[in-house]
Amino acid sequence: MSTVLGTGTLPVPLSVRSQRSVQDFMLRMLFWLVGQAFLAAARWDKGLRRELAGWEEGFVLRFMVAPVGPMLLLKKRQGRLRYQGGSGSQADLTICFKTLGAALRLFTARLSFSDAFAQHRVSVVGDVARAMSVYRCFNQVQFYLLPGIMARKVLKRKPPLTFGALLIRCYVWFVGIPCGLFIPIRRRM
Amino acid sequence: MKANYFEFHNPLKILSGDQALENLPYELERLGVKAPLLVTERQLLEIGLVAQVAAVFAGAGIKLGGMFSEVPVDSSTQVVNQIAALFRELQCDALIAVGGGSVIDTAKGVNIVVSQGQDDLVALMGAETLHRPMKPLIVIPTTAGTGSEATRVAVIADLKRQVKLAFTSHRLIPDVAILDPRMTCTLPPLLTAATGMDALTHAVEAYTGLQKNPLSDACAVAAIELIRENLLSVVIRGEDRQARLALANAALLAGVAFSNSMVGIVHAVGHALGAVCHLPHGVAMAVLLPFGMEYNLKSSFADYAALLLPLADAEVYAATPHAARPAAAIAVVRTLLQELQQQCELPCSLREAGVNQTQFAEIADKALDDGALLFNPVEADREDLFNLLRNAW
Repeated sequence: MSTVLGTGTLPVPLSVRSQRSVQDFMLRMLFWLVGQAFLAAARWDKGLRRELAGWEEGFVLRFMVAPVGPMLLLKKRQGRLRYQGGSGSQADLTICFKTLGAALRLFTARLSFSDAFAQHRVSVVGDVARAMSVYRCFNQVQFYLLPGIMARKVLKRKPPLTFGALLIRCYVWFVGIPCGLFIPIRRRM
Repeated sequence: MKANYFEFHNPLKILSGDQALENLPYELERLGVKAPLLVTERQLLEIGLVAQVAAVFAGAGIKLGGMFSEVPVDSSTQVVNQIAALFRELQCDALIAVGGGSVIDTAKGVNIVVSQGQDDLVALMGAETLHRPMKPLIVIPTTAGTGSEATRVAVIADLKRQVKLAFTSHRLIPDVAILDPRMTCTLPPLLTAATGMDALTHAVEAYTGLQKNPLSDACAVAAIELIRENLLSVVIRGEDRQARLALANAALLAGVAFSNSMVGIVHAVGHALGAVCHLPHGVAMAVLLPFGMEYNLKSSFADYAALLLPLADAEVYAATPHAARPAAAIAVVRTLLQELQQQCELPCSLREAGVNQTQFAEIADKALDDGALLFNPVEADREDLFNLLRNAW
């Protein structure tokens, strides 16, 4: 016997909806975490500072999940990167994930940035050359955030963990990210 | 296959062989086209190739809406915007590209501008950013190399910034590709060799790329076999139509392969060489391919070992121990390059190609920002690119 559905949306089981909500929440947290790590690492890492120097003042980078999923916005202001929160419609470069799952896999180090592109899991709105700069920055941030065994999985080449890099990693985890909890977004804008 | 997920997209209708060109009016009618704009280059107009295309419209009940025949060798965003304005002024409804990679990519660029409701191509740069349906695009390649007739990619120069902009979207794949041996038989030996090496580079890089998959692999291997069997003979005997057609098919297959697997370090550096030194793309590919293969050797060891079979032949493959196959594959490419150099003076080094070492820093910087580098199996930083350029010099 066939079931005739009305013109509304297909019924989605409660378990799937709640799973989606949990994933949504997790991704917002991960966006925040990576955003804070990016800001913290960019203060001390020479490579990141060099990349950021090439971004024009006022440049806005946005990570988002299509069509209306979680977002991460970072803006360059007064030569430094600022966390802009999780909403905003204007960006100079948008890296848009086609699915929530793809974004989660990338931000939990189960998918590399290059594989996400190769597998067409993301679209890029903006300058591809700038997206390459973001790719290099993101790799460096992942290097500071992730334990070596996980970093090796998602980075094509893992930089050596020098004493300086170890200090930056400690700064990211024990200063940058905790401090991010106490600074309201409006003060960073 | 390296990834646990892949996408393969190739909606292209391919007409390949003798008299293929005569099907053009039928295909236009099938697509509901009333006034197509023909995009080509002056040289093809002068040698009569465009006249051959125009001839098939005689008595076919369909007329050209207009023609633009001034596409330069290295097309730019300005040229694209200029043609887009002409397209609108003449109220055309489709595009026919007759030419090599520059012409085809220009037509794709025009299609982006007129279909997405923009006036400037630069505003639409990016990857997978085209959301509106495109105008019908029919491509008639006159070179056998770029594979642009089958790809989701368009590379167009931004003269202001001296960079090559890459546009990628599944919507950029043309509707129809017409491969007619009459269209490539006038190609001079040097251009035939350079474009053939471009096709070989597409196939090799697609076979070792991050998104290689069973379908792209099949296309890449078929393309390499056809190039091995026909490239040298076509350079020697350009009038051999069957071999010309085989090369055109190879270029298309390589295009399908790399459109779905993407290219790598050879193309990243090659695009930068084109932008900085205006080195012809095919020549850059020919010079850089063996050095790019060497750079990726460790990571792509098994893939290069497998490529020895289509690059050489079954006997050479069987006689070579497994551990020696990758190096043998690179040696086969070098031998082919030397043979082509003997036949048509194809440069085998950047020095022979006229590249100045003082430009390496700028080339390396530009290559670092090229999207193709993302898909290379091995990471490359500025120093690696510098070393690759130094080796290739």
